[in-house]
Amino acid sequence: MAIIIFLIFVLIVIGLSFYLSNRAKSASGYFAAGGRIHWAVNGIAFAGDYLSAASFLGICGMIATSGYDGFLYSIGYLSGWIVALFIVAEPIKQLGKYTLADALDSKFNSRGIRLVAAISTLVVSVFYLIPQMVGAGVLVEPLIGIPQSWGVVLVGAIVITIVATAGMASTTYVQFIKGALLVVFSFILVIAVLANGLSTVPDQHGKVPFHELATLTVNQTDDQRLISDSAYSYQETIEVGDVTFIRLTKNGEDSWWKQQSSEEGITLLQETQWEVVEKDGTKWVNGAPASADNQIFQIGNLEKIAGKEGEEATTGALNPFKFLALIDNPDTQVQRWSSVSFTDSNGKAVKVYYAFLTPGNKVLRPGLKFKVEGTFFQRLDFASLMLALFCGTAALPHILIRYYTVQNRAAVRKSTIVAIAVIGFFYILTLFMGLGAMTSAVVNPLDNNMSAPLLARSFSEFLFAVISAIAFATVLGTVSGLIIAASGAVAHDLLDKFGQIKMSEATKVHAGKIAAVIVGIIAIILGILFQGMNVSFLVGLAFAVAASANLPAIVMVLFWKKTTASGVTASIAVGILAAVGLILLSPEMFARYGLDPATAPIPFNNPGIISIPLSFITLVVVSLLSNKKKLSES
Amino acid sequence: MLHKPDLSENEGEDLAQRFRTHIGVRLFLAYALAYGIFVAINLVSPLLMERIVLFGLNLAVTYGIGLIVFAIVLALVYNRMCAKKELALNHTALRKEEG
Repeated sequence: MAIIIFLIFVLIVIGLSFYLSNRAKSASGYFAAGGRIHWAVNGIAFAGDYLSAASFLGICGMIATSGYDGFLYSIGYLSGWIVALFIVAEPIKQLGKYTLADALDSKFNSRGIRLVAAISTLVVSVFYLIPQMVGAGVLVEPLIGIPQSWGVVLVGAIVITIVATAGMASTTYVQFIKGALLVVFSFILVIAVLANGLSTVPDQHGKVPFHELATLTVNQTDDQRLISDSAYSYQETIEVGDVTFIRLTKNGEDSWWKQQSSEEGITLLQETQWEVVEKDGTKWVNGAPASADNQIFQIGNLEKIAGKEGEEATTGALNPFKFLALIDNPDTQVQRWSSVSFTDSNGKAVKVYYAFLTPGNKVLRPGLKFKVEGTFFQRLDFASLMLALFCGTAALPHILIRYYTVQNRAAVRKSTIVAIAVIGFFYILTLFMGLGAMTSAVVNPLDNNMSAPLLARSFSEFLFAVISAIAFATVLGTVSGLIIAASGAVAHDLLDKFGQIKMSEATKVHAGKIAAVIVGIIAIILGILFQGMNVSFLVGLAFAVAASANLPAIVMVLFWKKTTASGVTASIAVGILAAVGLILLSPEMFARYGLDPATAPIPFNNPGIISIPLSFITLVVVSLLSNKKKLSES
Repeated sequence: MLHKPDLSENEGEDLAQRFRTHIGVRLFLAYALAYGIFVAINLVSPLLMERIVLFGLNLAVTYGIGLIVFAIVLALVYNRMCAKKELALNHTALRKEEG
């Protein structure tokens, strides 16, 4: 079923691209769809472009594991559209033609601006492409049963075909179809979640029996441990941070347990899930060899709903307010999961996934992921993320170029408003989809990105197939937009304007297509290298780079008459270098390098709060200095 | 189709531009203030976000969804004001052309 829907979608997309290919003969047709897209279509296409794998897979996955903190991304992403609508949209349409650099350079005719703006577009596009490709690999694996790496290659090949055949015209219609389908089917999924209500024993509608975690008691005397199930015998204790794990054996097979509490010599042990990798590379899952049938099982459920448990707690259908209010209840207990890795006394590499309870009122407020009650730098990190999300949207090159695809400024305004309405509605749905996954025992502890599709699977295979195909389309639509933006930066800004290579319309389109193929191949390679990272986190970084490199230049070109070409060039260069440099030296990246995050020279992950003001200051200082120099020369 | 000058088409001498910038900046500041207060509450007094305020929902959810709805409302208000102004300026331009 899933494969059929997936193939139908791919065939439609590729057929559409070839059908529209005659619209991409001129540079205007290829890079801006000839400015002939209707504002309503463009508005939905905006949503299709913007609602990337990060929005659908990443945010739902983050809400499913970290509650409200994931929803903060939804709020931040949507708020950025206000900057786009009120400050940037209409002037950009007036100033530009195909690319971001067109608008920035409209008053100066500077090769320096062309160069740095093109580099900025490429850097932001690549940062944004990585999570899309990671999401593609995650999706394709369960959908058509091929490894993640091949999924990334498949997506890359399809996107290159879309972009290289019909450019912005096919990209727009792919994004339009995908944007509309995404919102409609997400709404259907949310209705299913609310109709289903909440339960403490979710069983995926009878498809997967609810797995209640086993508990043992240990009576510890001076010289021995008496375990409530005498078939088990104690082997060792491992402490990781403030959590203690106990290894027991039963009939010669190991199992790992989390120590719950220890009072008056009696210790409670709770079942965990674990993976063990032997020295020869053999992998075991929960005591048996890893296989397609023996995987880490799906997790996430409510232990208590407003103080009730078992059958008594099952709610039946709920309205949206009641659904949220019940989860938020202080007497509701949400079973969440975490994981730790260590080496046991036999030298085996062990990864344990363990459950812990969180009160409902802590789930629906900030704090589970972002340490808003933590140290100064942890709070600064949160503020920095929210600033980058607010400022990033209006600085994303693949979003800005969509303003050139409609006829006039009124159409720009209307299409942005359609986008805000559609995207805003979708982001409200993410809260319900994420919480639905969190409470329905559908979260894959190895990779939370699949939470929304797996939630759909808990209702029906058909819904799963459609949602997965749409999620796949989500990747296609966004990646196509990014590659178009990157190809415009190379062909129009770097080769034509900066390199001053005289090109006919046809040659420019040809150069754009070659650039699209090269960027597509780079995206495939990066998608394979970055597997396993949360896609929303990665997109957050892309927003930070865009907000730092592009937004100060855009805003100042529009609103400050003393802005000079040197100021814009310096601002973009400093914005890119500061944002990328701070990211590369951040704790999250240090963990990625295999180093201790505590040793990272920058104590926070999101660079926006430093790099955005720095880029603004650079523009002002360099513009004033260059104006002064010009005055003294004259 | 009415044969009257379309200001939005006539990008060069767009009489509505100053009005749009004026309104756009003000609406932007209103939203930025609401967003800034939201982030500030999260940072300064996160426990306040647990407080139930509306339909059994806490402040975090109400404010968060409220910001999304507020964005949509402001966008519609902006469009309405701009369209109204453009229409008025269109009429003025048409009268000048006829006169």
